[in-house]
Amino acid sequence: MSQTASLKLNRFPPDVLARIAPDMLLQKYLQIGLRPSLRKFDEFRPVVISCAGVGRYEASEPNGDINGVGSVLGSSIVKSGKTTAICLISGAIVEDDHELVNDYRTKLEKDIIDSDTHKDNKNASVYTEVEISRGASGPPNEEEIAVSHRLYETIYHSGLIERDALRIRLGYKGSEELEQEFVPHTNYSFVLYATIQVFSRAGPVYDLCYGALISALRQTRLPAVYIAEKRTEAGVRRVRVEEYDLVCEAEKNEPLKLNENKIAWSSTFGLVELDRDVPHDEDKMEIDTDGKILLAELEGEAEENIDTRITVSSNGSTLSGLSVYGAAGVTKEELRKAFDLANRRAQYVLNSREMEM
Amino acid sequence: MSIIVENDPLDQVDGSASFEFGATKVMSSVTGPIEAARPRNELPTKAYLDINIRPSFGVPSTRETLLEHKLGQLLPAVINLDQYPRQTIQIAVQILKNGEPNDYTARQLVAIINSVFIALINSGISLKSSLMATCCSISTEGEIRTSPTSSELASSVSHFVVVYSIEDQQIDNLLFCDGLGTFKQQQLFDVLDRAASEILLNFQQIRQAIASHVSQNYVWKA
Repeated sequence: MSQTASLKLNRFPPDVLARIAPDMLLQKYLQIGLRPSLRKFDEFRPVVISCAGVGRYEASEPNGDINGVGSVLGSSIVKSGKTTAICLISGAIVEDDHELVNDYRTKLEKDIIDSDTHKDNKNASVYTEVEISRGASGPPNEEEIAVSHRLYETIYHSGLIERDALRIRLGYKGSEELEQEFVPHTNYSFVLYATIQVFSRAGPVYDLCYGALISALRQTRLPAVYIAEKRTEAGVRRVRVEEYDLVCEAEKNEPLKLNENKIAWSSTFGLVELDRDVPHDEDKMEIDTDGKILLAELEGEAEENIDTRITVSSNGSTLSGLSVYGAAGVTKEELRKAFDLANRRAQYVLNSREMEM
Repeated sequence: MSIIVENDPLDQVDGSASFEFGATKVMSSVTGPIEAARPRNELPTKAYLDINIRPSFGVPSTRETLLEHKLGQLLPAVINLDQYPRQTIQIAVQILKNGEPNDYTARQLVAIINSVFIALINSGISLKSSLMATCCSISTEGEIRTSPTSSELASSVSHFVVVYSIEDQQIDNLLFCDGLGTFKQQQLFDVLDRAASEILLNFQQIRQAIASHVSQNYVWKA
């Protein structure tokens, strides 16, 4: 009596295979010239940018703040595929200690000489907080902190916002100029905060957060600030106490000045090698490349595992923030290809109608 | 760039090193492979990297977290993590001297990467290749400077941290590149070339430091 054991082939739907063997699934797709998301290798997802319209100076919008007392100064919603990022810009007023530090009256002679050799950066940035919703609450994880701080660094070093653009020019209520003798000794500046919330993420979120932040900054309007008049009365015999009530105007405002040529769009690429050892059907084999394959805008579980990545911001011709890492190493040719795609992508998105808003 | 390397300054860890170049100094220690402290960190197929970076003053902030994140992107490319399944490799970094303005981390990141690499070698953890980091900046006139000083960084339009792997004393692969500020594509390629030759030049110093340390450790064998 003989018994034959038959091995039954296990068949998995793609989403199951993506979890148990992401690299295998990715290779299977790459062999036929597609990606798990059914996009082409260098195809980006369409992106929709819109104004959230919840700001203090957007009372005309359906969601606008009709009382003009909220603290949201600019907002945006960016959607790409299933993922949505909402960005809200708020602000606060700080004493510009930077100015004070450079005031020669507070310095000793040696410091004055030292300060000549030290140049201060004229750039400012926006303090960003990214929250990626994942169905659980808790403190921000490493990824969220890293994305937030990277956004801060990229904006700061790109020179998008100048320190001068955030400086407050104090005035009286109305259009009258502040008289010289009432001008306080300290200068005041705005600081900007951004809260970015990401919903239903699929893949790296940096690009979307960067896009949302840039679009929201373009919408941002800074309030006019004046000194409450009762505080400007100077007594004759009394010691003058420098205490001001700074009031932000509910209607008067002006847009935040950005360096338009520094406005960029960020793109992330993954580099993956075609594995010839993965069983494949010669007839269906669509690509015959020996080099690595550049995938634009990673998405989904199978592509999440690609550990060689290139992230770059571009304004269409000039690059700004760059991050390249990976075990496989990256060649100049691959970088060039990624930069060309990033430039084209940036030109397309930045010139699209939605970006104008 | 003049480099000062100190091997194994700490004796309670498996490997340590301090790396100093110009006004920047960093000390790193490596402990591992050790048992995972938390069940969550016990990865079935590879070792877990526990990276901690402490600033030269104050408490760690988001800035240090980003540096840890960058180190976490680079190190899996050089450490044979799959040789140590379910274990942890602890890397602790203490920045001793910033050597650059507060808003910059380029010089510190270079010192961190180089000191961690030497500490890893001293700890005897299996590595795939040698590596070295360097930084470059592009001035407003478009001039490229390697290992820029604090004031050169502050007046630059962009700056880069570049890490290459080294095999047989030759530059091999670009493992990591981090650029901030604005730059053209060609400028970046020039920076990569300059960084590669700078690394090739300076790696000899690190190699010598490691070689003399090894010969000291095995002095009883001679």
